[in-house]
Amino acid sequence: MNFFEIITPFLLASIGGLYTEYSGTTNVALEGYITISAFIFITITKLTNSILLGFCLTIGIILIISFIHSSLTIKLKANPIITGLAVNMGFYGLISALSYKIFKTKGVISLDYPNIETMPIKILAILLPFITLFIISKTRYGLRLRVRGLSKKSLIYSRINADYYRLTAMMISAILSGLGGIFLGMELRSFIPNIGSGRGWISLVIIYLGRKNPIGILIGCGIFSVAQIFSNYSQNHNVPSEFILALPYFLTLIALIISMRKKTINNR
Amino acid sequence: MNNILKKPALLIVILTIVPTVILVFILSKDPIYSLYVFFTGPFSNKFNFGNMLNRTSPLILTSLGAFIALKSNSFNLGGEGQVYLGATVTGLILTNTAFIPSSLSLLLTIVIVLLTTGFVTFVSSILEEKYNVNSLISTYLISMILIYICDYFVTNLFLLENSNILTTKPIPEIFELKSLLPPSSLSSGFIIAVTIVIMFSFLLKNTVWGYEFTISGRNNAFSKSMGINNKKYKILGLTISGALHGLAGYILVTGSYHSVISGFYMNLGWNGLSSALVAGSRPIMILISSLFFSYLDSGASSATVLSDVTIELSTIIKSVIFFVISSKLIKDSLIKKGNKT
Amino acid sequence: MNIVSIEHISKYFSVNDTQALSDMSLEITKGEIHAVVGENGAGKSTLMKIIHGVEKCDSGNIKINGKTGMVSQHFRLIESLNILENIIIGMEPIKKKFIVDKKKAFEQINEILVFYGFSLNLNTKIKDLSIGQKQLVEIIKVIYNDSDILIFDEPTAALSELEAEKFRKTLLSLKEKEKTIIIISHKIKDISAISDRFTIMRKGRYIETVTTKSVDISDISRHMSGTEIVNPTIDRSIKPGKELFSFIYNNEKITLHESEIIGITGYGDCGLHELEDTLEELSLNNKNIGYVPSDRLSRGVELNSALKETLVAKNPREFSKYGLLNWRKIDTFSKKLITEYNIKGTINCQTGTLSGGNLQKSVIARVLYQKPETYILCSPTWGIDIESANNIYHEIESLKKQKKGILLLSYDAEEVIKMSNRVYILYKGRIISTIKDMSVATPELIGKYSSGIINE
Repeated sequence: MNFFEIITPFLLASIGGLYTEYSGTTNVALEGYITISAFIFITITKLTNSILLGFCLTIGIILIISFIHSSLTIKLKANPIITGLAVNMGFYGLISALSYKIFKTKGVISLDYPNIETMPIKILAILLPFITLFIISKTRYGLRLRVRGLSKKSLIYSRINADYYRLTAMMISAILSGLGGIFLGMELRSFIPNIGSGRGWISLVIIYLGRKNPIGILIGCGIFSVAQIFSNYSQNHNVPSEFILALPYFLTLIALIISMRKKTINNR
Repeated sequence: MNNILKKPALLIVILTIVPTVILVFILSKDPIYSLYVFFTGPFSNKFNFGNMLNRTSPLILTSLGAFIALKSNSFNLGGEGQVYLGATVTGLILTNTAFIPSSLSLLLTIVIVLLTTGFVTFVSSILEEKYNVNSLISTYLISMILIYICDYFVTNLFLLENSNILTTKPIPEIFELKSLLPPSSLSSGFIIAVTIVIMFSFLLKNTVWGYEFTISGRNNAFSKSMGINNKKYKILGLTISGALHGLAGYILVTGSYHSVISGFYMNLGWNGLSSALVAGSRPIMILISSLFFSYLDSGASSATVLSDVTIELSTIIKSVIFFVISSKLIKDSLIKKGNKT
Repeated sequence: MNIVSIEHISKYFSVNDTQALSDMSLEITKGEIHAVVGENGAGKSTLMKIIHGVEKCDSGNIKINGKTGMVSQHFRLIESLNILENIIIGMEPIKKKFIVDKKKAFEQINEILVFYGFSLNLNTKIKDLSIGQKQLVEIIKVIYNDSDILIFDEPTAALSELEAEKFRKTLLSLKEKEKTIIIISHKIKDISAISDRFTIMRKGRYIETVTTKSVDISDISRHMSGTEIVNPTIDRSIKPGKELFSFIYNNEKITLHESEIIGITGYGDCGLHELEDTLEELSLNNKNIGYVPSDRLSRGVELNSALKETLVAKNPREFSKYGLLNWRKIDTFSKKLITEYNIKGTINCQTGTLSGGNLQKSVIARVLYQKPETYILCSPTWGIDIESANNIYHEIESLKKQKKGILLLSYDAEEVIKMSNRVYILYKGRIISTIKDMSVATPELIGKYSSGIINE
């Protein structure tokens, strides 16, 4: 995979996650949304033989699922971190169960397509940080979203529906990471059980590395993609595959330590 | 709705049964039979019942581990890797120390398991204290690294050739925990796990250490003002959590599988966390919630064997429970009121 | 004409099981300044929230003929945003469908500033403002929202005397511009100087509505509390004894003696908080210092623990042998404290379900049990009803008679003057003045030092 193919899912998921960060919480289910979107996309495309239908229905289904996920979290006053983990877990079970039910396998599901055009998604991903920057700093939605994250009461006293902003932010993050999953499905032209391979989690870390700023996140994603290319490169040089698989997590941890350390020193 | 919210246990049971029934009706061709097998399977004979209890043993320890971390106000999201590390260390030492007396290598194993897994979470808590790295993230990241490293040992260096699964060679029989209910796999590991929970329950409730540990986890500002060393308890909480996960790995090897199998830790960490959250604030409830979780797993595996549903059924149900138990609305309904005597 | 009319409304909170309002009625005439007074927990804030529409009542009728805007007790401003952004939240002027028109907002707010004669730089971040300026931003915010009825919940509590005076003038000018104003306040001056009428509430019920001009100032306070306020002024004839405790604050040594009360006061960010933190550190390693924190909800008690667990927190080792806790001993001890200090609650109830006054009683009970020689009391009566506050004053008095030394850190200048032998006034993190002769001490004098008008 080349640089743009690697950076696209990272950008989609981390910018998506940024919206939930602005609304004052963390969506830890990014990984789950990536995986389930890839699964739904491949399944529907395989069953209907139409990429367009697969794409649109996947987006629609993710919209519904994320609406249920976030509105239940808000209405039950549940801990969003825990419900996010629950969603990850549920998706994992659901994928295995459905995959077995429909395809009689819990493994790889392949499409018989020669090539799928993914250029529009790549372009969208690259533009996304700038679009987000504009939305956050110039629009009413962006202003209120930030206010939601900083002080819920402030919105309530201005008689604005505060829950609306968290709900939409959660849904945006689900849709964008879902788009990342669809992109992976399109690139591989198949679904494999661990298709997300930690991208959702790494995206969360990138959000922190990028100091919750769209441009910072763009840079963070770039660094990660280069690291990924590097690890792909070393794969061809007799390094055990386990170490290569562990490398992104290791680099994430190191990057996290370095960036947080800087911050701690600056705060002194 | 409000009446249901006042009875959280009832709500959790309803939330288990309803999705189970719906899912089985979707997934199965003979839903009534599948449901029957799902709910009665674990109690159908001594074999199934014993297996269910044995499945509970490591889960009790991971739940307790997650519970202790939660009590000290940390999240340990790295349970999976810690269990695998504990299991791998156990397997590697027990299969490679034939040259020293068995009692010595047993002791050595337990000490090294506790030290290594405890150290892993200790590192996370130090990273949080010194570098401000959220332990929720670092425990997860470190755990992922550990899983791959352990996998390297199990599937490359110490792989048992000519086996159809990825496993190391079995540990010597002398190290296997005593079987309690043959022909089922129930081992004395169950008794060990239950004893450890009772021990921690006593420590937390009846000692100054437990009191300070609890208060420190609940409210940092208050305990600091009372002269309690918050840092100490926070680091300790996460460290103990890791060590207990390691111990779960030890029991997993010596009490169930008798060798280290790639991926056999699967879900013990996550289930432990959700079981700890279901248990709420009382450690003794861990026994009940762990049993409940392995009942779901056992029911699902009975249903997989005897009918046409898949084992992931229990994962889906557990995720629903996981979702609901974190609700603040439900927690609020459990509060003891001040002006009512 | 009544712009607000409320008839027989009730409100019950299931979370802490309290009847906040029962059969409450209130009528407000257009264009008046109407004060609502009563003890803490009388239900005033809840009533205001219901009028503003952020809280719903269980039963009763509400008629409001106009748009309301509310400035609550704790400011709702967002520190990291600038003044302009804070003001326009909820009423953002929009161009091209969804883009915030900051230029237009700027012009609109400037119009308001000119109209009322305020001055503010709209690009300043909220965190760089003084408390008085923040209040002004809140006021402009409700004016910007086109509110006809402005509701203020204890607006002057956090202000210096000068700022409060300015604020009252602002309210009068708002009244001239035909706004209706509802104000909750504990300060008699707010009521006597600007209100047209005031309504008294007690325990969630309506007591009476009085025309301000028809009564004099002392009557107002009598009306407010229901009983005559006792003003325990400390007996200054007791001479301080030997030295108990001393500490250095910004190169100045402060020494506390037996039977002495030292008051330390100031406004806003004067350094009182930092001083409290330092003193808390000192109290940790010294059994002879009893510390009552100002932030009692997080430092004084543990809201999620049983009351008995909160009560023994300072000395759990006293109830243990070989590290094992003796719960029977703890139960007996807690029951004793609850009866002795008249804490309304049971030993096993969750601490967080107690009322504010009872929480403070629990904190003080625990500290008194420690029997220290030195007491550090930080804002001990803040947010507590008058009766409980008076009990605390009596307790301090009797401590003084028992030869104890007391350090009283408080933003309430009046309280400090009433109790202390000596007063230190902080300004911008240093001691700006020491008043040793208490006969000259007045809230006005302290106010002038605190706001930096007199600079020694």
